[in-house]
Amino acid sequence: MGSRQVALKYAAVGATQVRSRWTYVGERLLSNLFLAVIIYVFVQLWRATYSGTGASIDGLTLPQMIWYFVATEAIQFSMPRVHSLIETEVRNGDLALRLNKPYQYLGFHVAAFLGDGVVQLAAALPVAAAVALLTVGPIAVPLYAIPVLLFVWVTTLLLHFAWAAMIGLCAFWLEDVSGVYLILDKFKWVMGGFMMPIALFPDWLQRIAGSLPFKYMFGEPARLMVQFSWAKVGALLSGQALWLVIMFALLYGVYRLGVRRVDSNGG
Amino acid sequence: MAGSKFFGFIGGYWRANWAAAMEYRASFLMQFFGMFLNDGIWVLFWSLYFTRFPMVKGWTLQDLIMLWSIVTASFGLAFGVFYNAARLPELVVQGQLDYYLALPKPVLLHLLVSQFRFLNLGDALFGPLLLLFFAKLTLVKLLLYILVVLCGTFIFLGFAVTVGSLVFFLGQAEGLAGNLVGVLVHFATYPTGIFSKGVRVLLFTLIPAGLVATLPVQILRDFNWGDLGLLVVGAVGFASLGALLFTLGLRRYESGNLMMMRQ
Repeated sequence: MGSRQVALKYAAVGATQVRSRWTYVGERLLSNLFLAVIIYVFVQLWRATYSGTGASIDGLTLPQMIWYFVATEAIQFSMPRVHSLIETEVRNGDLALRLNKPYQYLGFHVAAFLGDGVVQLAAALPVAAAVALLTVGPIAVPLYAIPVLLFVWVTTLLLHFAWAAMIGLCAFWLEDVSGVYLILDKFKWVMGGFMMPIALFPDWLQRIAGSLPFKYMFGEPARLMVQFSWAKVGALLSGQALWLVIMFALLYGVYRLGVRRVDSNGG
Repeated sequence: MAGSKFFGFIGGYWRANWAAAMEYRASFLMQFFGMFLNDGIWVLFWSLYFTRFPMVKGWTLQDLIMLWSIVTASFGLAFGVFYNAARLPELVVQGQLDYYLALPKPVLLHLLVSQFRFLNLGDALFGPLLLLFFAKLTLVKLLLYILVVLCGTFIFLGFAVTVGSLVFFLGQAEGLAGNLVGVLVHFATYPTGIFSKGVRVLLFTLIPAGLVATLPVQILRDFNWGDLGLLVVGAVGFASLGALLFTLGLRRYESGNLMMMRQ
């Protein structure tokens, strides 16, 4: 099968996922009302913070800071719970049944993850953006930046996929991965600048965060949205490319190790 | 129910729940310590925040640590030990109250004590340990801490049962109840001082985040009987409201005619 046909196959998986999830986009919008509360609370916290410090923190105005959090939350809320799906498939044996299908197990999940993510983004971004617009007003994002930002959203989600799928695959060795997920997910939040821009950390922690992939999963893409520049695009995409190679190699290694433990006993 | 029978009934359930947790020990420990470290990371975030901005609206890191030690303990007790309070809408919609209705025990109490949630037991331990390591404690403060945590537990429980009971009246409202409990927890983990006056009124009434978080911190920081009285009234009020709505709602409950093992 040629590479074009392979690409088309996985694109079809993603498109099917979009169609199937789009049916429930209204319900997702309603359930994302909690996201509105999160952004509202962030606005109050940072408004109080700015009132004591001045007009700019780390080069960001209050509206830019809030839109930074709109971006990080939109990334987080658009991420399907793939770790839990893979954990279930490993534990109940569905993974073994999928091994003889005409697709790569991880490739299938990447495509479905992105498809699901599109719908989740469509249900999360308008809610978060509406609260930001109503509370701090708009920020200037050039029109030509929008396709670039959408592409960056895809590359960012791929990094998240690799991280979450690795956690899900731990089910080959652990009885329950929810505890591991809780810890590693929150670690990603802090080190990625999800809860606070990394530039506000103490120097020693900034150095640690700078050497990890998580800043490319939250902080840098969000920063790009609020202060778009082509120099930032180049730095972000090259950093993401490097970590995509490393993390997908690790993911594939973990997957191969895990699959060795699978026993199939007929149909 | 006589006192000894009452406590024997609750104790029996808790022993059984604990035995179930020990049956899946690895899973229990992973979830327990997972949540414990999860809370620790939130406190790390606040430490980073207050390192950069030492005081926000009169709140310092010490106050935030106190707030987290109270909220995690009361939330952990409410949903770790009485997990079915959070599952109430799901149980009603699926017709799973039948089991409790058929037995000669108070339905709401029986429902609440019958399931632990390992994850939230991690919260319940995190709170006291945080206090022990990061706050200056006296015996009086320790007793006050226990009291405010218990009041917070009743408020969380009362609130969860109140919003969960809405499902008796509204039908499919599982998502709504879960969201409202999420909103309460979210507001409770931030200093109330950052919100406008109008929102603060809301946080001391409809969504009692101020009652489970800010007021207890105030009581431990600068004790006065008025605040303590207000907290106790809040706890009794929310617990009673939950019990009342559940009782009224139960009259509208229709059996699920389920033939299945109770989970």
